[in-house]
Amino acid sequence: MSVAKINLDELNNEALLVEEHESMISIYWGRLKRHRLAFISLIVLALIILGVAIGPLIMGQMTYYNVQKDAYVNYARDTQDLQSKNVSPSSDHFLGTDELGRDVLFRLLIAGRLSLTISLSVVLIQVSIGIFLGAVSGFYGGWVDSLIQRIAEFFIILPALPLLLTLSSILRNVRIPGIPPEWSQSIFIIVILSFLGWPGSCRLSRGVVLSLRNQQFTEAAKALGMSDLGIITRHMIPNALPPIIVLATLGLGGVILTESALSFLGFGINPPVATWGNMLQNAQTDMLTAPWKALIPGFFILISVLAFNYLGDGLRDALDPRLKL
Amino acid sequence: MINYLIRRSLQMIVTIIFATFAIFVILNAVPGGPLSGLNQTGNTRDRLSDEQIARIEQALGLNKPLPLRYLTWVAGEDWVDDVAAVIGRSEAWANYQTPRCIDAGRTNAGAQTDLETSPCGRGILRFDFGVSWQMARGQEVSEVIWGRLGNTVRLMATVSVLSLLIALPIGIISAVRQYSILDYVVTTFGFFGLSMPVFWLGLILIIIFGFQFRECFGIDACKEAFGSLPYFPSGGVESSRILPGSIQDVFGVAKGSSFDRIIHLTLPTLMLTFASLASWSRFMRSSMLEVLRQDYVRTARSKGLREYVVIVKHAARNALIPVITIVVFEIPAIFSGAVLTESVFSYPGIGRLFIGALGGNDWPIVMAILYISAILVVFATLVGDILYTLIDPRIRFD
Repeated sequence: MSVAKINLDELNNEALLVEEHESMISIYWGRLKRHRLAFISLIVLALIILGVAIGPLIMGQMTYYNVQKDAYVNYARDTQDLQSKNVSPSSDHFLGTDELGRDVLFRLLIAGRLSLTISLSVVLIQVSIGIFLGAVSGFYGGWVDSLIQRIAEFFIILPALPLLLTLSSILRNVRIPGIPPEWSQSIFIIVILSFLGWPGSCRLSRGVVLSLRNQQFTEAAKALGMSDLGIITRHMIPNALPPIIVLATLGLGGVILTESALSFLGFGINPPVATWGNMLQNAQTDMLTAPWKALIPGFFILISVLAFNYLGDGLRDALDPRLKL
Repeated sequence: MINYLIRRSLQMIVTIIFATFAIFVILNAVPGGPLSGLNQTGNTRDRLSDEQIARIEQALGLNKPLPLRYLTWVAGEDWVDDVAAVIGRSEAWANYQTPRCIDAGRTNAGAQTDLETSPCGRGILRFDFGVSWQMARGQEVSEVIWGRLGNTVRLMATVSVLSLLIALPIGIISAVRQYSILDYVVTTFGFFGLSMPVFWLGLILIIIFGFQFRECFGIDACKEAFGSLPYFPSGGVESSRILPGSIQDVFGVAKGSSFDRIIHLTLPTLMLTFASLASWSRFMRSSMLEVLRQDYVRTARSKGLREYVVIVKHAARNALIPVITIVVFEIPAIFSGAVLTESVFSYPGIGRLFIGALGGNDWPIVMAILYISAILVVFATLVGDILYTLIDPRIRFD
């Protein structure tokens, strides 16, 4: 057996490379690309986001013939056309019209904007609350820990869907003064969903912080006179990020599902504002004559949630293969 | 063990008290309230006078200050006059009981055993959820819920049993044959199940098996030959009349018979089973994969046991442990769940009752359902934890 010759320069270079922050990200990126479905999901999501961002702008430049008004009308006005209700897909309306003669494609795109914005904000808020409370809880331990954990357990134990329905049925009639009603509805939905969703990320970040709290670099930071808040924000939270990113990505799909279910039941965002969920609500009555109205929004929900789930799966493999979520 | 049980039960009680508090605050602390619309109607003749509204408020028990309202919801109202007398507030609190209770002499004496006839509210702690305001005006909430419970339990129990019977074997097989085509199909299927909006799946099922079957998918040859394929009902528990060409008609099922009910249950069951199948088979698969890596499985194999015995007796049994805790969580879902399914298929169960009560501001029903499901969740958590420790001796009570 011969001992392989070791090229010291190469080793040094490798070590230097690994220490650089960017290269860590490129390692993750490389691993993510190997998960084919996750990579495809990333592209699909990018297309959906691009579509709902730019699509309405393009349609804002286009007109169609509105039978009721007997005139060419801009798509972006979201005008009713009672003369052409539930029209099947045509060159004027690529995805047909709904029960009030509005263009389904346009509504689908602005609904996507709203649904994605809501789920993104909810996840950002609940993850920020969760990660911070979890870090504080794990870092201090003692009564702070028990208090936060008891509260989190209480939130986990609450019956989720009935409670969500109750909260939104009560809050959707409350108006925030100075904002259009459809905005205050979305804000309440965001608040309710993030209010009930933080315990997951809280537990996760607490777990990570508990394992880091007694490691030497924490002691070193303490010895150097770093404040508790500094240690939590600079050392604890960055280390808790990878698993939380996975949880958040999976959560994005979950929030889209929950929001659409609420809107479908009539307890989320109310028409005329379109979301993927409430577009399905009216679809049920005309399901037999205009099935595309039921098929298309649901398909978009399915595709985007599926993409978020696959992306989350890929991110888990890339960031933290041993993570169980 | 005894200590652990006592401590957990105490925790349970505290959690439930917090939950009742939360339920009450959520519904009652928001400005407006259920009667806010009554004196704002556009038509002045329909508008109620303040006096009329005060009467309604008293009848519904809404005239009390919030803390007292909470206490009467939890503990009933038959003690209110006694307490008022003790603290010298008899006059101020004179209207704080419902007229029915005042007329009966402000006490339940003589009607102690019978919930229905007791004139004063007895509170949720004594299993009196009050009287429905709107959904079934004047009827006892417990009766209303009891009337719907059967439908929901039938649906959810069928779904739970069916999806367990399918999900567990699928999970085991796909773990044993990891990376096989079957495994690949199962995982993909699992992802779809998790990502699919269940209500949308329900709509599609209705479109296909309800409508397209009736219309023969629009194929003329099929229409000429059969008229229509045997189609499923799109909702309800049983048919009021047998439609020509429907599946009941084809198989000669009488309306209202148990077969009729089973046919109505088919589509909702299919929809819910698909949803829970996905998550349970995934869970079983990952649990099984974990176990298959253990040393004792290798030991069992090296002892020369047959592969079947190794997998079923050694691996699957242990892999079931974490799955059981998840299954226990189905108990509360049986009660409150299926909100979406029941709405899609207009199936009169607890879920639809809840939605209707929320829409109609029928708070006694809403609060009762929330309270019962909170109790069930807490209870299920406890049962899950205990089962976990009983099955797996490595986990100690602490």
